[in-house]
This record gives sequence, C-alpha cells and structure tokens, in this order.
Amino acid sequence: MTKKPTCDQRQEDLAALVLGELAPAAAAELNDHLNNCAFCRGARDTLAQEEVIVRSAFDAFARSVQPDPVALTERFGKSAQTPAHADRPAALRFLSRVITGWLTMNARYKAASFIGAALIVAGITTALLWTVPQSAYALSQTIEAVKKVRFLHTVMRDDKGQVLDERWIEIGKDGNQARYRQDCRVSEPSLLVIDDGNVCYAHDRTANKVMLKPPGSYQWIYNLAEFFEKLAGAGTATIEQNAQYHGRAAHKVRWLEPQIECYIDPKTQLPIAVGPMEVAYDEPPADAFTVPNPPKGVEVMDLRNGSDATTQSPAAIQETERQLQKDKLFKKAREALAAKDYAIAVDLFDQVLKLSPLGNWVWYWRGDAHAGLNHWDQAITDYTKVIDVFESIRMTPYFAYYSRGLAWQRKGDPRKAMADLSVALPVMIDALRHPEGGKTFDYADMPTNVRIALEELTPAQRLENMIHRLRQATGQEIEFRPEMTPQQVEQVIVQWERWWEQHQTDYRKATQPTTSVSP
Amino acid sequence: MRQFPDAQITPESLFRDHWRAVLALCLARTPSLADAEDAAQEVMGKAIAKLGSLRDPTKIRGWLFEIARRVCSDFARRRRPIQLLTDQVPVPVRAVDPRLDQLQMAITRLPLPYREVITIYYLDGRSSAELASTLGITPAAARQRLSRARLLLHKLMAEDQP
Repeated sequence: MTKKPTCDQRQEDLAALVLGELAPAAAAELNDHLNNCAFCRGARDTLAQEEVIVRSAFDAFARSVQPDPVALTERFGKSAQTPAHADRPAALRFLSRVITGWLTMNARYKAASFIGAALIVAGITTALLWTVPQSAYALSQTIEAVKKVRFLHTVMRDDKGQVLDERWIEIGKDGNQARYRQDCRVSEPSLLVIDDGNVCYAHDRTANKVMLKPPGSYQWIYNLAEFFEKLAGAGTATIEQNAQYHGRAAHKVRWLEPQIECYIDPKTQLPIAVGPMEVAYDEPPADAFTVPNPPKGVEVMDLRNGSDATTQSPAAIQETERQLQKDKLFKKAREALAAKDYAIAVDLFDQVLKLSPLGNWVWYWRGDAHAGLNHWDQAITDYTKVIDVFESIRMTPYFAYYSRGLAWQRKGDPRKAMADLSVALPVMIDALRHPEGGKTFDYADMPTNVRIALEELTPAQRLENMIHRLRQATGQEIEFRPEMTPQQVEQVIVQWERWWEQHQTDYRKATQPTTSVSP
Repeated sequence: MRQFPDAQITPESLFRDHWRAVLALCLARTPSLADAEDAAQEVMGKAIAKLGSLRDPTKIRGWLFEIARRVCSDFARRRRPIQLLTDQVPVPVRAVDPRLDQLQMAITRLPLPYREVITIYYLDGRSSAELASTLGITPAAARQRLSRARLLLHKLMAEDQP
C-alpha cells in the first residue's frame, strides 16, 4: 500500500485541480480527501477565488494591449500619401511607417500580407530597420502643428484633481509668448501673474505684495515650436503609439534628457500633456490678460528695469538687495564647495536658504558639502528634499538618487543605497551610449562651472565622468582609460551593460518593503 | 492542440496565432507591463520584416520566441528608466487594475522558468497541452511545472497581501 501524501504535499495537486489540469484518477482521490479535510478545502477555496482574480487580470492585460494587425495595413496606405520621411530612402520610409504606425489605425486586412511580401522583396535587414529614428515622424508633425497655435491653456492638478496651477498664454506672430496669465492657487507661494505685453503684474498672495516686473518675466515654454524642435534634437525619445492619456487615445513620447513625457493627440498632432501639465488650445476669457489695479492695502514694488531707485519703495530696494546678496552668497558657497572647504560651504548655503527658502540646487549642493564632511544624515536629508520637490512635479532627479545612494552606502545602509541606486543606475548605464543623458549629473558635479557642464563637455568627457560615477556607486572596477580605441570603449560599455543585466534584480529587490503594514 | 498552418504565414496570421504567446514571453522577461507590450510590438515588427528568413513555417513559435528572447535581453539594456509598477509613474499613464499590479509584482518574483509557464499559460490558451507544445516539453512535465508555478505564485501573492 502506498503511503498517502500529507496535506502539505497535496498543495501542488490542489493548484492543478483548480486549474483543471489534474488527471481524472488523481482528481477523484483528491476530491475524496477534500470531503474529509477542512484545511485542504480552505486551501482549495482560496486558490479558486484567487484564480478568478488571476484570470481576469491576465484577460484585462491582454485586452489592454490587443494589437490591431489591420492597423499595419491602414498605416501603410495612409502614410504613402504623406511625405513624412521625404529625406530618407524609400525602403526606410516604408519600414519606419510600418514600425511607427502599426498599432494605431483601423482599416481593411488585405494589404497586410502585401506588406510582409513587400518587405521581403525589398530585402531589408533588421539592422536597417532599427536605425530608423522612431520619433521623427510624429514629432515633425507636432512641430508643424504647434506653429499654428494661437493660445495655450495649461493646467496642472494634484492627485485629487484639484487645480494647482492654471496658465493662459497668447502666442505672438513670432511664435513667442505675447501675453501671459498664471494662477497658482494652492501651491506656495500663491501667485497671480498677468503679463499684458507691457508690464508683468505679479501678485504674491502669500506675502501679500504686488511686484511690477518687465514683460516676459514669467513664462512656461517661451516658444512651443522651438521647444519641440529642441526636444526632437535631443534624440533619445521613445514613442508609444497606442497609449492613452486619461482615457484619450494619444501617442506617448518620452525623453530621457530632459526627462519629459508628452502625450500627443493623434488627430491634431498637438500635445495634450507635457510633463505634469495638461495642455489645451481654447481661447481665454476676454479679461484674462488685463492687468488689474493692485488690491487695496497691498504693498506694490516696481522692479522694472530703468525704474529709478528714487521712485522705488524702500521695500522694493530691500527686495532687490536681498536678491543680489543671495546670488553673491550662492556663488561663494559653490566656490567653497568646489574648493572642498565643506564647512564654509555648508555655512554659506545655510545663509542662502535663510534669504530664500526655495532652491533645489542649494539643497543639493549643501548635501554634497555635508557629504564632504561625512555628515551622512544631513546629506541624506538635503538630497531627499531635492527628490521630493522633483517628484511632486512627477519628475525623477536621477542625480539626486545617485548621490543619496552613495550617502546611504557610506552611512552603512547597503539596502537603502541599492534602492536609490536602482533608480539611478539604469539611466547611468544608458548614458554610456547616450552621453548627453549624463548632463544633469555633470551639472551637479560642477557647481562653479554649470554652463561648461551643460554646453561644453565633449561626449568623451561625459562618458569618462559617468564611468567614474558608476565605479563609485557599484565598486566595480571595469578597466577604462580615456585613450582607449572606440572598439575598446565599446567593450567597456558592453561589460557595464552585462553587469547591470546580471545585477539589476538584486538592486530592484532592495526597493521592495521588507515588512508588510496592516491596513 | 492548436495546429499552425504550415504555409502562408502572413502578418495577420502571425498576430492571430502568436501575439498572445509572444506577449506572454515578453511579460516574463521584461520588468513591467508597459515594457512587455513594447517588447512584444518590437518582436512582431522584427518578425514581419524577417518572415522571409523563416525556413520551416512549422517552427514559427520557436522562431518567434528566439526573436523575443533577444529583444527582451536587448530591452533590459536599452530601456530606461526601468520602473516597477510600484514606483511612482511620472505621469498618470493608464489605470492599472490594482490586482493586476499585485499579480505583476508576484510574477516578477517567480524564477524565470516558472514565470514563463505562468504568463504563457494564462495569456495563451490555458491548457497544459498547448503549454507543452509551446515550450517543447512533455505534457506531463508541463502539468507538473504549471501546478508548481501556480502554487508558488499563490504563495507570493499571499505574501503581498496588505
């Protein structure tokens, strides 16, 4: 007689039973057992309930990404009439159409097989296929479309849908901002800005004062078409054509550097969201750009260029001086940091923050100064502020995650270090192939030469910097010398990529909570 | 067991017969649902472009999976920022069912062979016989691997319960 399995040993069979994958004889035996065993019945019921969830979840996923093969066909047909890639060879145009558009359209089936055949006839290799920049097509259309826009209406909301910030922008004939209105109701400071093209009226409702500034003192994106042209040139965009934005069909375009996500209306080719802003193009209310009289009892400061100091109120003079002093201190602080006079730098950054409590880079570099003094807790606090501010507008400051990761490491908390580095490392590794992606890291590392960091470093210098950071963060000593040949450099990059492939799971594990919290 | 016609593979038949299996493999081998979708699209794009190089149409599943494995491993290198679904998503993307989220988390923690078994089973056909033919293993082995994977998934999901 064979020994009966224990309840523990039956669990796998229970799973098979629930899936309907247990052989009939085994199922009969197990059902007999279930009649007599409450423990196994409970386990089966749990599994069965869970099975419903698992199945419906997989179904939901499959439905949400259901491709439309017909799309391929229609895309092909449509694009044939639009010279989207007029500067590229026909075969490439053809391929990029297939790839960029194949999920978005609906039409008839019949040409789909033709496409397959045509591709073979064209004798095109996949290598060629992937050299086609997938972003070019939609973006060039978007750039053209935004050139025709007259009004921009942007809205930023918090998680509950409450409007945090609303702006109206009239675009002049030159494509630049002509008139502007911004209303931040919830955030600090609460601000109303109206720029009628002659004067910029800024009412700081938190401080209860009105500032009159030169026109153009506030802006969102100065010139939308130029903005997109620059983005298009940034080169590391990925396009997802069948995405959705709050239930609306949209192309999703993602850039790494600057880190921005855009959603494009497939019909008008106009952006419907840029970063955290929703964008619309409706006409503003008639009085949107009318500069009001300052409310009674509110201090008015005229900060326009050329407004004579004698006509300025004492408060305005004070404000200007405060600004100047802050700039001076900030410069000195950065110089001290660069000279490794960390204690002096911390003191100076403190003074800057007293004059103006906001400033990502002040926090970030004060964090660096604290790190220089081995004050890991203070450094972590400062980096965390930077991270919080960026994330409140739904951006990720990879450079700050990197620095905080190092600080955790030095402090002796490898798990938290890995959790932070798991955010930064993919971008850092990627930047080996796209050195421009390391710009903000270079900026962060060059407090006294931010302009050089942004504009003048060569790709080779950026690469060298990034490899240095990777070594710091990971302790990996993959050999690299600046004088290496391109082939050798390629080998180094491949080694880093392999290293990340092998270790990313470990890093990501660190992001998972170790304990579960009861509701 | 589903038989795939041995001739006349067209883009539409490719989608009809293999999209879900490709998606399943990509889901098992990329870090997020969005990545899985992107990778699967890439696989299909490549497959369509390379259909001419497929010598034996009866081996199309294996051929597609080969492309998919390559795409997914490239993907891990190329993609960024790699984000788990639990991370903050920069801009609200699409409403993901929280259960799907939990399931996805559990799936990412399964060892790869079990992960593939689960995604392929649930996305493509839901029969162990089909699973066996897709993975090129015996039906008995497929059944065993499946029930083991399912039980493991259950344990991981239970761990994730708040």
